[in-house]
Amino acid sequence: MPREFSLLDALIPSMFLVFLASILLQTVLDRIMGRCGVYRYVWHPPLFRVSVFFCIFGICGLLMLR
Amino acid sequence: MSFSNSCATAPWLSALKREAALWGKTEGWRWIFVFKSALAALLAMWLSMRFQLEQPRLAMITVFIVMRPQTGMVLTKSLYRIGGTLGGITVSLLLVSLFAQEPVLFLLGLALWVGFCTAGAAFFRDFKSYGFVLAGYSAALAGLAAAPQPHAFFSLAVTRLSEVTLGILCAGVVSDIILPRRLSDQIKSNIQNRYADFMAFVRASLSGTANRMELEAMQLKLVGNVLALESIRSAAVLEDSEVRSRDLKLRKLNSEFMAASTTFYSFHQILNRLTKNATPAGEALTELYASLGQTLATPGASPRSADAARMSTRRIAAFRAILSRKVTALKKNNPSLSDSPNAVDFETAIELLHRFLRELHAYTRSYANLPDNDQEPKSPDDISFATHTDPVVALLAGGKAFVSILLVSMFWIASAWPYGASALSFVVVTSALFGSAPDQYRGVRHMTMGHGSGYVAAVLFACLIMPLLDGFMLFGAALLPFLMVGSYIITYPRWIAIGTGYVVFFCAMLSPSNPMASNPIGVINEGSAALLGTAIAGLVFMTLVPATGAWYKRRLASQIRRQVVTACFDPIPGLINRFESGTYDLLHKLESTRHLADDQNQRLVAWLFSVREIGRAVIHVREDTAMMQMPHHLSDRVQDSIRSTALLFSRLSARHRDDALDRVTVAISAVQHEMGLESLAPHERDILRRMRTSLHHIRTALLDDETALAATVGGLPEQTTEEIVYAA
Repeated sequence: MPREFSLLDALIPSMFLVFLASILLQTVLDRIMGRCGVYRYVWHPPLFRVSVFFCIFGICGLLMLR
Repeated sequence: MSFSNSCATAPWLSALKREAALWGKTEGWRWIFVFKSALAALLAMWLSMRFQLEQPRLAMITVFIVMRPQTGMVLTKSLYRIGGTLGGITVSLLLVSLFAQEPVLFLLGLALWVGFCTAGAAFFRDFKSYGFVLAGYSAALAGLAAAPQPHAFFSLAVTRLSEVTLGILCAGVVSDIILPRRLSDQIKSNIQNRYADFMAFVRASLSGTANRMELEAMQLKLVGNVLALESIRSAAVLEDSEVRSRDLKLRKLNSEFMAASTTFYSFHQILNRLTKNATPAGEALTELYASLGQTLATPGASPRSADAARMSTRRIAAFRAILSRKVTALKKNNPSLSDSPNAVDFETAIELLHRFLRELHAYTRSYANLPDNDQEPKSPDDISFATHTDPVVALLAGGKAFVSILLVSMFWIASAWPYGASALSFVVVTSALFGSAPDQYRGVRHMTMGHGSGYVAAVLFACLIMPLLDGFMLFGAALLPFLMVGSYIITYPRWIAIGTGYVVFFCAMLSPSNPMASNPIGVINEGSAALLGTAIAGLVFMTLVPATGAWYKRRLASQIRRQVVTACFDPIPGLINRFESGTYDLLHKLESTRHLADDQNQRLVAWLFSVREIGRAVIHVREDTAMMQMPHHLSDRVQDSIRSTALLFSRLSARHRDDALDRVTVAISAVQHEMGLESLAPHERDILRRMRTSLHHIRTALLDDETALAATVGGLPEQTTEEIVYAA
């Protein structure tokens, strides 16, 4: 996987795309977990949410860069 | 601190605990916010230095622009803001690539864009408004920085974008993760306060202990509460998925509350009219009224708990059940109540009382059921909140921003001013914030005060403290108190503009850079330019069609009256809620400029109250009309009366008022005639009776000589004045 790609001759880090995709994934997951009531068992939902996001982003990023 | 506590072990300890708990409730959250925003700002500064971005100050400024005590969901809410920033940067890219060699065209294009964004910020609310503020602001920042060196523009734009985005993310993450002030808690306390306030209000007006001014103040407080709930609710939907699932319940509660409170107001008005003229109906109603007051009194239990509400619900239901019997008894004791003019009056009032009780019952029941986690209620109608922002007023705010940018740009081009860019960027920031402020006059004054104090603080810091500092830690520690003062002021909603102005100006002037450089002369030069920019934007906003001027007031008045036209012609499903929420929104807008409490403002409030009464009655007439198949001549009469009422409110004049009165009277007698027919089914007779009371209600409201309508249109014609005595 290349580190950067060229969009109309502007170099964009591919991590950025991964970041956007992670946001999308996190939003979907958040909706599902909210619907199922997972957050009722979580001490600090926002922290949990951000942590989930970091996990998703971290995993995807590492997989991409491997 | 009190030492007279009876607690045997360490009395001072429990007193201290009490004090601490009290402090935590009143002051604690302010300090949490202060530390959080300082932390977010320093984090943003450190990260942007770490990433070697050119202007860490942009990240800091952005933190303070978006940071508010309420918490929202990190990523989703930030997406709006980042979207705004991206849009702004894209536009500046376009402008630079088109007009890099043409300063006049470039600045003209920039002025147009910022004008558009300011209009958007004024038109929308909450995070959408922020999106527009940031779109204008980032376009100006990137465009102005890049104009002299177009070939480096792309990297510059990317850096600006990263700085602003970094600021947004830092603010979002810090405000959401560290000791968040959950909106759901705020919603809970808001709803409870409102319930208690409303019950107190109803009781106070039933017992007659409060005078008119007090009642009006209580009403306005309730209005503010409704709007506050609406605004937190829409932000909370993003914060918490649990709120999202309870959202429908909250909206239903809001709409039921508005309906009940308007009906109560109408009932109160009718009663006032009847007692003023000492009619027998008035006396009979006062009796009923007092017994209702006893029903609503909740001895013992704290009135805002769900259990107390459940008890009230039961008592209201019981009262509803015996109301008809009471009314019959009253009629029997008072034979004059069955005479023709009195009978209609009495019936109208009773009908309103019935409706109020029904709505109050629904409201208390919803309130009592709110804590339960049961299934969603089915929403019968559309119950979204209709907000009213006058597009012309929003466009005007955009026009003002446009003019002020043009003025400063002309001065810049004509004088080849080296600091024109900083003046211009402050014109942009301030006009976007002025445009979205609810009260522009106060916004301008406060923002100028804030910028002035920020300037003084920045100069002091740059001259006296900055030279002594060495390294990031020390720098951050020295900045901390200055930033904290600003964020502490932001926690007071009345002074948000002062706090934001101060802290933004301070950060902008100080311009912490990497490597650190101390340049007091630069601070003074740039600060003067920026202050000049603020002052010009402020002057334009205050003088060019000022928001407190006569034009604006007229515009608002016609918007208020148009509510009745809406009530007359809009499609019926969901109309009550649309009408009520629109009226509440307008009332709130009036209330936010109420420190200029002059006659004009008072009159607008009076207008709004009378619009509320007539509009609701019109809606009920229309609902009843839709419910049954009426003969042509009758429905024509009723339609005529509605149309003439709408005409009266769109074009005020004595002639139209008389016309409306005539037509309503004709419609009433037509309905009366129809009711006399033998062939009617009971439920049809019921509908007709309701329709007659609503029409009668409109008529009395039109006849009332103490409303804003009478004050504007003038006295009543001769032949009707004598009618008032019994018709009212």
